[in-house]
Amino acid sequence: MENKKHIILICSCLLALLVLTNQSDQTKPDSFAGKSKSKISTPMRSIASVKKSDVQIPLKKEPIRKIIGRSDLPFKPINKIDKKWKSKALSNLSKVWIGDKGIDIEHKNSAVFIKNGIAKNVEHVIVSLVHNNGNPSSFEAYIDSQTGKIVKSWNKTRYESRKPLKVDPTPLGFTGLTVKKQ
Amino acid sequence: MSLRDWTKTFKGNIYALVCILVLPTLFSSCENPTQAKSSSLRSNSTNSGVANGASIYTANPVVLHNNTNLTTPNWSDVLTPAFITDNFYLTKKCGFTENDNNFTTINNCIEVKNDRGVANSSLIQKNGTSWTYTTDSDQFYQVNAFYHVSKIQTEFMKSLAFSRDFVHNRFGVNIPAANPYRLGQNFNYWTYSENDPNSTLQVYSRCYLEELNAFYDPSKNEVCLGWNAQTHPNLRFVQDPSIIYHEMGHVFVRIMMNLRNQYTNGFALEKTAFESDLGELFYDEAGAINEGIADYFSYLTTNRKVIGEWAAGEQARPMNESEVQHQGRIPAKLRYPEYLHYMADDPINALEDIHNAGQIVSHYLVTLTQELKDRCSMMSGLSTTAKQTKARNIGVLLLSETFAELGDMTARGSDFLNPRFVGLALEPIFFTNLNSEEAYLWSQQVNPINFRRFFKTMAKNIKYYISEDLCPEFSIDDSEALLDSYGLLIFKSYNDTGRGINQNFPNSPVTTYNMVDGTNIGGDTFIANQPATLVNEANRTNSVLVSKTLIGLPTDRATAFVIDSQAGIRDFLSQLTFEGKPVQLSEELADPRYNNGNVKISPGEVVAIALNLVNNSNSTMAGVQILGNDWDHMQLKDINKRYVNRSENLTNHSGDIAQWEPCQIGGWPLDTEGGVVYTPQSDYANQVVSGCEFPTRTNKVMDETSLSGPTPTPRYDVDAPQPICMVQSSAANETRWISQDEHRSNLGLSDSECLNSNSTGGGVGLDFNPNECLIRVLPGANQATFGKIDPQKTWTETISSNREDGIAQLNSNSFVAMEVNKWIQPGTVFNCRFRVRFSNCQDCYNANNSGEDFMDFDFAGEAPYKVINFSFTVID
Repeated sequence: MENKKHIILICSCLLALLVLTNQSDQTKPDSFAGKSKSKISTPMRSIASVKKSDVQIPLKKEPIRKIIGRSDLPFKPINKIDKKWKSKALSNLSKVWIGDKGIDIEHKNSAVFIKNGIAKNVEHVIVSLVHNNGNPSSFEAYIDSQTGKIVKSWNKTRYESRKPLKVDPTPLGFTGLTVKKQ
Repeated sequence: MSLRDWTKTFKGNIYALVCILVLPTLFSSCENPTQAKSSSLRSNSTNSGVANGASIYTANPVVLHNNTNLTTPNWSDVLTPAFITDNFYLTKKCGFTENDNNFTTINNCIEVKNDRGVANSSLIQKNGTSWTYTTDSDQFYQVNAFYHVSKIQTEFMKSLAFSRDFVHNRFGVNIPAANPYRLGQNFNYWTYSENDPNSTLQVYSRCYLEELNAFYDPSKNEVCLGWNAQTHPNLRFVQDPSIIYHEMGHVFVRIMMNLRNQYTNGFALEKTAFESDLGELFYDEAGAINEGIADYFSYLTTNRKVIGEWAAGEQARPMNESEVQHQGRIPAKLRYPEYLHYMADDPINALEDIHNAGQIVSHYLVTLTQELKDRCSMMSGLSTTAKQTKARNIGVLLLSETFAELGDMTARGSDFLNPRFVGLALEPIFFTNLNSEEAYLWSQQVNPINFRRFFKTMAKNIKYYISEDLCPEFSIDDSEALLDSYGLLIFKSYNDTGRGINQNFPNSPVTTYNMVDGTNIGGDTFIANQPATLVNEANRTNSVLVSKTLIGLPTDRATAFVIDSQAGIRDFLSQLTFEGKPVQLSEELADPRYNNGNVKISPGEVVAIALNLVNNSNSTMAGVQILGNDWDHMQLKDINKRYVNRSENLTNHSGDIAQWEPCQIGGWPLDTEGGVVYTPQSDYANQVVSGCEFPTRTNKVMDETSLSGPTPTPRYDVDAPQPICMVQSSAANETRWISQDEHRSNLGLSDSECLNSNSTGGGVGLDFNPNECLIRVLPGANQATFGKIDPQKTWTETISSNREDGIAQLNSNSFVAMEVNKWIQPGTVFNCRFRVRFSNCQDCYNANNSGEDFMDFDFAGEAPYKVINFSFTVID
């Protein structure tokens, strides 16, 4: 009988420890892009000073996007944000990449890219590929957050010695119509 | 069980629990692979005797043993004691001094690791005060890699600091300095990333590559020094410091190209949308310049005029005509464009490659440096080492000033009138790369850095900073003569008036000397209204300029080469993707699966086209560039009707739908065929907005105000550049050339049946342009280059006649790619207006043989180019 009490006591202590640990986690700030929010589950003040209706639990929002380009004028992005942008991007790239090894997209940042007053939601990524000869390549890109298409790419890998594309060794040609003698 | 017994058992269990938790931790620290291994790795090596040091190789084995027949690295008796670092790991933060103020990177600027292929490859640490490891071990090579990377990085920092202080502290200022005044404060002395003012360069000393190679990856800021024990058991690229210095040269080029692209706006550090890149395609002159300068950085550190004697073996690249690799073949200088395709180890087989073309750049720079060492009074009496230090300072001064201007994504070119610096209102005044919105497009594609642009700017900086300051013994004539000896005097003026444009006054170009008060920061004054300094034509004896009228499509040979097989186009697109230029195809309307391989252009296909241009002159044309991007070659029929022809606008603005007509260029199309006749106006004041003679000043396509409201109604900008392809319409017994939009309307094609409508369930994109509904030149593959074309030949004839096998291998850079809408009716005739220019062109950069170059916005129009009409019929 006494042993049972000890077991119950130990279990109660463990349960209390679990609850306390969970509470302390909930008071740590969650981090989004540059902003921190805290999620309050239990107000840490006396009951008399806080009304339940005053306790506000912030809604989970989309991360704030970095603005790239001129932002002193009002703007509204011309495209939406699709949570599946990454899988769309992979699908788009797969149409133009025939390597046996897959494509890796590393997400760096979400942004609104403004050019000539036109704003677009984009995802800044690093695209990594491995050639069938085993050599890797990467580049940075902005990807349209709605369509998953690449808007711009830059910073490609620079190799010391490179093999050119092998096209048909006997170049095929055709004579098209010429509008005017050049 | 009693409580006492339970307690005993519990205590016993506690002890067991402690053992279980603690002991593995103790053992795991000994097994941590990042820790220095057991003393066995140190027992066979000789302590360097230098605190925090090691014995390192100062050069590659071939140089150290003076033996070109070495097949295995032999470090016996050739290692030298040297300080490595007093840090605990092979890392360092980089310091920069600006006017005696010291700055340091926030993060490590360099970390050296072992194997890139190992996830979370870690840093080794020293043992006590020694970095000594067994010779030939991985750790030995990591230490050596760190030594050489750190060495050249320190040298570069000092030279960059010299450059910045020199240009901003000198008296007698005549041109604005391109190096930013706040270079140190803005952390511009090192690479930066999206989230960090300084990003860490990771160097992998044993970087496994299946095909042995070395690379610099700017997207991840990594240098990979290749290794493959199976294919090359005795060779690691890290064993050759000249290769390490070459790769670091690419890092320094990146830094210099982006010196102006991270800045403070008075409150916070900001970055431009894109980083500048030097080199876009598999082959282009920008890439060649990048390679030549990377080689040159190796020379600046080693003082040797060859790179890669060990790592490249027989393919070691010389940087001077007297080097043994040339075997006396070069009678005078490695001249442009004659030697663009030349390889020292295989001189009879021409090969278009940026490393080959880059040799002209390295040879010129090494010769220039040698001339300065020999002539300048500031060099007299100095030791070899001291001379090399001064030479390095001058080299970095010239390169940093050149690249800071050419790579400026803010499009200012200097701090002059930089509103963020001088606190002026944000006026749209720009001096390079058109404007801050289009700077990336302009510098990478429309007016990229080619041999002409680079050497013209270098020559300007030599004039002001060397000939008129540091080394008057090297005169402007000497500089021009040297450039000419390399065939590089291919510009007519130094363009040192800095002509820019205030977009608020598009008809009045602005110069640095015509500004309101003519002064700049710190009270520096510029001489007002000074004309551009012209090149002395008497110095131009080897450099040949050719008129653009002499390039075109042949009439007796194939006009183009086409890739339209499924396998061929997939390989091509895949190659572009690997090169960092992926194209994005329209959904369902054009796809490689429709390709039929009949060497024609058919509906639904994605094709690659290489124009078979012929050089009809008696001199070589070099740096040939073919542009297929949108440009200002059409005019609105009614300037007040600008709404894009799309379903939303047809409801509310059906009477104001835009119609575009082709401007008559080179006599085509005739006015009876729909061409708009106009008189070109070289005087900007006489150009009328929206007219054919008025090239767009901003390159805007859409009026942004039409897209920003709650109900967007897309409207064109009045001078919007348009896609290059038009359609032949034969109706009512008359032939007209019309826009793709007009033709698709006649066919009854909806918006979603057009290419690039982006109609993926979210509606047609707001930036959709129906003038590329049917034929679309794909962004990312809308420009092509040819290294050079010999007289009276095409490019393939140029190459094949200079190869033993007689074969011309077209590279990916030779092609542009096009989508062909599957809804095109067979028999439809298209004409695409490509624009062509080349580096040694007489009339591509200025009008009427004048000295002043065209304004940046002129490159949105016809004037700098030869327009090539590529016409074809879509065949089923």
